[in-house]
Amino acid sequence: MMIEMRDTEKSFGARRVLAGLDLSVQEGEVYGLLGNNGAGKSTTINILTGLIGSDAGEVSVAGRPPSAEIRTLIGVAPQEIALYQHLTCKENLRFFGGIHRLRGSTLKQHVDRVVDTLDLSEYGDARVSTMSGGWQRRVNLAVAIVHAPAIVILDEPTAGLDVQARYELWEFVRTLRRDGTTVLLTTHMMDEAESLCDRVGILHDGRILREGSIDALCRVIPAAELAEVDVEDIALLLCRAGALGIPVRRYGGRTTLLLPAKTTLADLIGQFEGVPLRSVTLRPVGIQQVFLELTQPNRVSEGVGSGSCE
Amino acid sequence: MSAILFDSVRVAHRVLIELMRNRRLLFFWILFPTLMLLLFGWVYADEYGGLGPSFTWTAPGILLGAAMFFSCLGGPVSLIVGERERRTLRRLLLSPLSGTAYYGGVVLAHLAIALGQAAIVYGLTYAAGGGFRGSVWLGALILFLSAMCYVGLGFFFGARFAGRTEDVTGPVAAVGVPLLVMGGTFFPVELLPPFLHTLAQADPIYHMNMALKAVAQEGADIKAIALNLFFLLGFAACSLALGTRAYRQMLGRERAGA
Repeated sequence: MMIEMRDTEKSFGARRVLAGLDLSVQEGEVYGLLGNNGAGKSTTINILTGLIGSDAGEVSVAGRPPSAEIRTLIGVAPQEIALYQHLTCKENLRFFGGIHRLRGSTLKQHVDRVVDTLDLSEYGDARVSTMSGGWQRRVNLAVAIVHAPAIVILDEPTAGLDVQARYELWEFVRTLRRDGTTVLLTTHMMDEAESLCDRVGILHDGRILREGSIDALCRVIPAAELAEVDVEDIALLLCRAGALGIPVRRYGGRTTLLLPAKTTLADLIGQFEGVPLRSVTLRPVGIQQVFLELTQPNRVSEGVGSGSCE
Repeated sequence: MSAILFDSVRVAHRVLIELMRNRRLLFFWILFPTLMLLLFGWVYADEYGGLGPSFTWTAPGILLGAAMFFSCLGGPVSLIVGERERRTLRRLLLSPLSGTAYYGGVVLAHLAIALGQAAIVYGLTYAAGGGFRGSVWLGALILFLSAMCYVGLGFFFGARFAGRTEDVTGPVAAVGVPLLVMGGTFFPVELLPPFLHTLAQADPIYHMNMALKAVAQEGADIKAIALNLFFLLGFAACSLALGTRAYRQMLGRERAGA
């Protein structure tokens, strides 16, 4: 196990941030830590990197307790661009490689390798301040992996990126996985987790509510398919859904039907004849629904059965 | 130990490269002491019998007060605030770089800057016909201790008070400029009223100026400036301890809030 946290607790004053967190990440795995802001993602990273200690529980990284020494094994790409703007791309890489104990020709090899991997050769000698945001983010990532760490922690790596840059970063994470690097990815972007992660842990209020592969997590939802509906009369919809035995979920004004079996749009509209539907979209069960189901159970509205729904 | 030294050199190298690239800052760090030296050199030219002797008399105060005060005290403050604002401080915290090595690197970089400024100020002094009469090594020791005093205070202000770049000027100016005036940077301390003259004995800039002026103008030996050197040694130790403590507390806060 490359990362292991058992029953980890951490509080800042009266605020309990981690409340018995259990987390295990295997070697070579891409593990997604999904959570809202304030769920405890950053605190988890800070404990794993030895920046802060936990109040209780056991934590190990590559079989050792977190400390300054294990930081040579870890590369962290922070969410914000954290680079020396007056230095060039390669100078940043050399500086951060150097403080990760790389020296001489080894340092040069590592810098050249990472410049190649992230396709930075065109900007190698350009000052960071002259680069666009997208290229700066690429250098930000390069700095995290210049010392070829066994574990890479990516803290919301695609926040603020355009679509193309996101996809390029995803491809890079897949390259890391192919190379056998263990990746811990924190994100609140569900499609990112679905696309990249071998396993996902849903972090809420300082503990993992559920973890597993995307497929396994999707089985949490009692549905074969989802239908997102926009409806004029929600009471009527709830009533009809209840009569049909279809559970309904409402999150932030969006209404979703949990369909027990796959169906066609025409059949579904037929089942809800008389209910003024403005739009209906069928989609497969995804991690987003799982996340909402687990983290916001109080927003669940089960359909209410009734003999007549007029 | 060698890792700390290596990392300190690497940090110092980085700080100096950044400074060389920041042309505007570099320009003003050179322009300010140059203008001050020329200005005060001309002001005192009649009194000291020409531009050369006047530069010899003025150069120590300008170097320690006008040049190193802003570079070695203001420099670390801006550096720490900048690291915080650019988020590179967090990145450094996530690396194996120790706080000691970082601190050492900043000290090294500012010593190098102080040497560069000394070369400029004394280059101009020699060009104007003035000079440095005493031991260069003793002068270097005074510069070293002065830089230590300033950098320690710079770390203290940077880590303790300056949350953003805009916050830098206030504490540095409020505390530093009165110390410069009382320390005899711009005019002789004999002009101070007696109670301020007594108070000036507790001002590290006063001891920097007295020691360097004695060596530069009169060729004083180490015994003649022993009291000033002891004061500076003590103050450097205190300010470094204060700076280290404030820096560690800041790192603790950064870790907890990172």
